[in-house]
Parts: sequence; structure tokens; C-alpha cells
Amino acid sequence: MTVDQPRNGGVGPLTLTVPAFVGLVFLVGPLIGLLLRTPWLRLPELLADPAVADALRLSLVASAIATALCLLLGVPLAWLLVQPGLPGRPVLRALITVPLVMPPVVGGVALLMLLGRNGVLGAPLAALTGITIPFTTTAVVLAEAFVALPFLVLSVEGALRSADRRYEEAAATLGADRLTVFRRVTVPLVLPGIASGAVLAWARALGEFGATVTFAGSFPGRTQTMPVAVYLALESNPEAALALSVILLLVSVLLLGLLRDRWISR
Amino acid sequence: MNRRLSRSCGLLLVVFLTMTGCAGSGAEGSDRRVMVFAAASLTEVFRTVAEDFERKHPDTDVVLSFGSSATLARQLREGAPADVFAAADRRTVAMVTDAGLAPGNPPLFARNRLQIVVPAANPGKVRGLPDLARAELVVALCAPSVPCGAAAQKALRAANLSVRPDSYEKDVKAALAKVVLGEVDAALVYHTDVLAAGDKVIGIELPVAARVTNDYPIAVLRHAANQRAAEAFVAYLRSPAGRRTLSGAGFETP
Amino acid sequence: MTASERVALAGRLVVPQSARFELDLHLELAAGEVVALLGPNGAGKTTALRALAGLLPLRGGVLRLGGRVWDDPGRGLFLPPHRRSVGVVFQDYLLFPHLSAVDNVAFGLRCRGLSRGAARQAAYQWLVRVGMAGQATNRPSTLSGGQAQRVALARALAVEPDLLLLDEPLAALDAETRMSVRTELRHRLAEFPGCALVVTHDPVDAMLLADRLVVIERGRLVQQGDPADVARRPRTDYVARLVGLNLLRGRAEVGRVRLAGGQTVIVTEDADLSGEVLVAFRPAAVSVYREPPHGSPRNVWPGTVSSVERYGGRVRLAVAGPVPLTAEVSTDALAELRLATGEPVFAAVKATEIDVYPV
Repeated sequence: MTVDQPRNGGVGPLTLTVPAFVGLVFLVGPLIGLLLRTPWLRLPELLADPAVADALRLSLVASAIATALCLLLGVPLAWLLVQPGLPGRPVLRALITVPLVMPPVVGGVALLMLLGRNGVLGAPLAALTGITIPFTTTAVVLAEAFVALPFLVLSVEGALRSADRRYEEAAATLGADRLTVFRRVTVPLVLPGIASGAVLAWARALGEFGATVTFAGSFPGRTQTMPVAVYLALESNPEAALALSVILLLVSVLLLGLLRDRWISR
Repeated sequence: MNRRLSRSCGLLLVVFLTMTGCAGSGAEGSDRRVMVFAAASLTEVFRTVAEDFERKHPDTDVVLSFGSSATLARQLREGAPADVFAAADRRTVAMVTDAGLAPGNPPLFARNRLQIVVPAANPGKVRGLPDLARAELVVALCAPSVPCGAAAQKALRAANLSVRPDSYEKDVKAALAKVVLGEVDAALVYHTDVLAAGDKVIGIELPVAARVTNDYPIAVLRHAANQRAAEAFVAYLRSPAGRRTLSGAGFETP
Repeated sequence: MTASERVALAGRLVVPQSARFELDLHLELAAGEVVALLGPNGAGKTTALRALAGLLPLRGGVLRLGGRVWDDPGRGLFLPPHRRSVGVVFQDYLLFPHLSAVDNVAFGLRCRGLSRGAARQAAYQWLVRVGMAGQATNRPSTLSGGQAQRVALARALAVEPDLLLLDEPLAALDAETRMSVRTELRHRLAEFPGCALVVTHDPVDAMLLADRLVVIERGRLVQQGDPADVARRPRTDYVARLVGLNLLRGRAEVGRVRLAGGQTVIVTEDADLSGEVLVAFRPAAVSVYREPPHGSPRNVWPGTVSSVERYGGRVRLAVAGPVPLTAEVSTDALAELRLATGEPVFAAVKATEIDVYPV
């Protein structure tokens, strides 16, 4: 067996192209399997089921709100991480990364410990206002935001680091205080980075299962998101599970496709 | 160039063999290993039974895998390598026998009854099944697709109650966990789960009309790698010693 | 308080410059004055500019504008850049890429509380003044170097700062654009009522734009004064090499320039100019004779030696006469020709050594 060297414009060395191709098959293969086994003819009937519509609506709404929450909290947090002279920066970054390495169910348990009925904050909250968070749509949003926030923060932090700080200096000399600089110069300049961070966070929120099911439980229309619905349907109604999976896949691809073009490739 | 390529190929080969070795039904050591898929409600009691069995058969190793019966049945249908399947109701074991993976009409080895479980402090002041219909209570039920959930639906129907829970949990242990944590005021779980949770919870009996029991069948799978050891495990379970352990955990033995 | 007292800048800037030395510079500017800050790379020019803008805090000394303290480390007072009345034209212009030209210019006005409409209107007027009205809605990426420079200047001027700072304003331009942009810049600076400081390494820029030169080396002032004085009496090698230029004003004619006093300067034909021009040549290009020289076409003017300055191995002669200029000769030549103050001489410069600029 001879090894081909790429002459003028070959695809590349085999040691790179073969694993790359295997990786591609590995990623795309299961999706193709899903599409091949989907009961396409039964899809309209399965989609008409109000439980499916409920789960889809809930998933989209909750993940959108969770992403908005991530943006609201994550962009300032990323800004904080890049401020010069910040004490304990490595510790702060490690803490922010924790939800990434934590198993999602553990994240759900942690949220219960904090915001559950007997939680550190949840108990006083319930005592003072009668509001409990678990088993509500709010809990779904919080669980999804919890697992998605690190993606956004790290993505935006990266964008801020590579941004040219001299524009901020120019803005300061023109009379902009730090908040104005952030609002009118920094954010517009790193908008592509924020957008791609938001897309990552949104995708993560949409697919979240372990933390949601632990912290928010599962009730159709209120807390049963698509991933949870798929899991439960898998046992009793595999065809419905396939249909749900395919819908989730198509919706994700659609939204990812829309977003990427407009915002990220500027 | 040639050496690098052959090294990469060699590495890939090693990875492949390791993976197939892991995935394989384990031709090696099959004499000494019994893989048991058991319903979540059997968690504590089967652990005890397995230890006792291993003491009596020192050359056999019992490997336990717990989950909702419905999940386990599905996994078996997709080719999971187990030797024994202990389900929490006939319906889920039928999913396996209907697929031809085990002989029909598997024997029953235990019975469990449904109970209301509340946290030890009973914050919801629950006294009986009708209390679960109170709107202000936080109630968890098992999802209807799992045995515990199907039983709960049956009990509620029998008592003519309409309960809107705050969550349908994916298996009985998840529902119990929520009660233990104090996050819900009441749930419907098995009597054995109430016992297993000790003094963290209180169990409340269902009214006579609504009493629901689940029959637990156990099946030795046709493709079991170690038929003899699997049958020995089932035999032990149904022996007086096994029955003693089961009833000690709160199961009824037929 | 008179206008000059109100906006005059006074200060001593002490800022760590590098591991080896510190900038320690006394600086004073009067309102309406344009000062060029010159020096070799690493001398501390940019550091001084950043300290004036508030982008760098002083380690010592004090900085005041008018009566207001901008930086006084001794008393723990520091006014951040956004609260100083300063306008900066950066070397790379730093126009905000996501804003149009007019929005760039309006930026500072909006920071001061003007509504978007009012700020845009005022900004548009500034663009008209710098000749960029037609490109108001363009993004900076579509502007040429010269256009970007003008927008950057408009942006800095729009906030009507008391202090205008320019960091190598012409360095990023090609030779052709430089000339026209420099002329315009001179006009803008002349009109500007506040103090202006131009950091540059180019002697022509300095001599043309500034009323006063301040030369620093290794963080210390080595010479300051009126450009002609500095050129005549350089105190260090660097200064001499840098600013020893002769600059004369005149009107362009075909192939030559007629100076104010009536003398003509023969220049090379490729200078395609008309109207008011500046003529420049280095002192080293001036040859000094006792008798009128013959030979290749060159400009020859009579004059009298009015001063002799030595430095290193060279000598600078100031020659008074119809064409006043500075010549540079070797000490040998000085001795050979027995040149001394009051001696009559003839100064000759080849046309090829002469540059002509529009005014």
C-alpha cells in the first residue's frame, strides 16, 4: 500500500482525511438513521396531538426566555471577566465553567437545594411570598439557563478579548463614560460573538433534559419539554417518540440556519 | 510515511477491538456472571438478595441494573444483554415476551401495593387519597407509561378522583426522591418504597376500594449467556429464604 | 480671566516610559497655539499624548487646563478621559467601524446629551467644513486614508475641546495625499481656538503645522522654540538631522518659483504646481562659495554670514540676504573658506535638491 502525497490540490494527507470522514459519518449517521425510520406518513396525525404541540411550544418558549436570560446576565458577566485587575479571575472562570462539566441531573439537584421548597433561598421565599419555583415553567427556564449560561459567557468573553480596546479609548476621549462605551462601542463591535454565543446557549437550552426533569418535573403543557416528552414516549409510543425527535431536529436546524447567516457571518 | 500510516491503523484496530470487547455479550466469564434487569422499586431488596445469592454461590457474580420497567423492557427489545428481567407489572414484561425474548407466562415472585407517601413532617396535612385532589398541594405521580403510574391511574379511577399532579416522574424512585427532599407534599409510590425511605417519610394506606396491587413477574431471557445461573437466581428468589427477604422489605409473596 | 488664561495648558508630566527611563516633561500651551512634539521612537511622545488625554495616569507632576486640575497624583486627583475637554485624532484614526461617518462625528455630541437629530445636524456641518459632506453616510471601511483622516479630525473637533491632540496625523497617508491633507490640516489648526499638540516625527509636518517645536529624547526635553530657531541652532544631533530645513514661500511659475522678495528659485520641471507654494531644501544641500560658482544649473544667491554654530563635526551657517537660509558645511570647509560672521558668501543649491509644496 502506498501513501498518496497530495500533489497539486489533493484533498489532503490520509491520516487527516480518513478520521475526518469517520467523524463526519459518526455525527451524521445517527441523524440519517432517525430520518430513515421516521414514520413520515403518520407525521400529520402525530403532530395533531395537542400534547405534541404543547411540548413543542413549551420547548421553544422556555428556551427562548432562557436564552434571553443568559444574554441579560451573561454579557455583563463576560465584561466583568475581561476587566483588567480583576481579583481571583481564574477562580471566577472556573466557577462559571462548573455547569459545563457537571452532569445535568446534578445541576437539577443543586437548583433544588437552592430554590426548592426547602431550599436555601426557596424556603424563605415561600415563607414570605408563598411562591414556590419547582414544577413551574419558571423552573424550566431557570434549569435551561443554568446549563446554557457558561456557553454564552465563555463565547462572549472570547470575543471581548480579541476586540480592539483602542476603540474604547477613542470613545472615552470623546466623552463616553464606561457604560456608554460598553453600550455604544464594545457591544456593537462584538455582536457576532454575542450572537454565536446566544445560538450555542439556545441550542443547549432546547436540548436540556436532566436538570429540567429533576428541578421542574414533567407535566404536559407546563414543564414537559420536547426532550422529556421524547423520553417518556419512547416506552409507550415509539413512533410518537420518533416523530417528536424529528420535529425537534427540523426546528433546530431551521433556527440555526436562519441565525447563522444573518448575524454570524458578517 | 508508511510507518506513520501503519501506526495509525494499528491504533484504530486496538480501539475497535476494545470497543467490541466491551460491547460483546462477554463470552468470557459468562459462567460466573448473571445480569439482572430489575424495576426501580426492587432496588434495595434485590441488592440484599444478590448478596445472599452470591454467598451461597461464590463462583457467581450478580450484576444489577435498575430502572423503570418500561425503560428496561425497551432496552431489552433493542438488544441489551441481560439474563433476567424482573418487572413491576405484567404489561411491561409482556413487551418482552411478546417480542419472543422470553417464554410466555413468566412466574410471579412478588406483589406490591400502592401507597400514599408524604414527608415525615406531613406539611400538606394529608390524611387520605381524596386529599391529593386539593389544589394547593404539590403532588407527584409516576408517568402513566410506567407501572407505578398505571397503578396510580387505576387507583384514582377506582376512587373516582381527579388529581392534577404537579409532575409526572419518570420512575417511582424519582417520585420518592421528591418526597424525601420535601419538594412535594404527597406522591403515590409502592409500599416497599415507603419502607425503604425509613423515617424520612410516612406511608398512608389507600381506601379499600382503591387498593391497587402490582404483580411482579420474573423472566429468564432466551438468549441469556448463563441459563443455569440465571435459573438458579430465580429459584433462590422464590425459595423460602428469598421470600423472607422480600416480605421483610414489604413485598407480598404469592 | 482672559481667553488665553482660561484654556492654557500647564503641566509637568512624569510617567514611567520603559524599564530604563521615565518621561519628565514640562509643557505649556497657550490657547490658539499649535505645538509639535518631536522625538525619536521610544522617546515618550505617545506616552505624553496619552497622559494628556487621560489614558495614562501621571506618576508625578501635575496637569492643569485653564484653572481645572486634570491630574494631580500628589493630591490624589485624576480626571478620567471622558470628563476632560479633549479631542484626539489617533494615528489609525480609530473611526468606529459600525457607525457611518456622520454618526462617528456625532458620537461625542451625543455623549454630551444632544439628541440624535441635533447631533447629526451639527456633525454634518463639521463634515462640510472638512469637505466630507458627500460621504456622510459612508462607513469608515469605504473611505480612503485621506478621507478617514478628515472625518477623524471632524470627530475630534466637533466636541469643541479645549485641548486637541493629534498622534502622527499624516503618517498613514501616501505621499500624494499627505500634501493636500497637510495643507487643510494647517487651516483647521489655524482656526482652532484651543491648545493643539501634534505628535510627529516628520520635520516638514512639524515646521508647517506648528508655531512651536518641542523636541524630546529619552523622556526629557532637549530643545524647544520657534521652528526657524530650532533649525538654525540645533542642540543635539537628532534635532539637527531632523529639523534643519530651509522653507521659503513664493508663487509658482513655469519651472521656477518667485519668492516674495523677487528672487527666483529654479526647481525641477515635474513639480506641476501653481499659486502659493513652499520651497524646501536641506542645509546640507547648500554649497557655500566665496566667488559665484559656474557650471551645472543651480540656484545661486549672494548673502552674508550672520551666525556660525558648531556641533559635532559639522557647522551650521545662517546666511542673511535676499534669500535667507541655513547652510551646513564641514569644519574643514569653514577653515578653508575662512568663513566667519559678516563675511560675504554665495550660497548655491541644485534644483534637484529642492522640493516644492502647495501652501
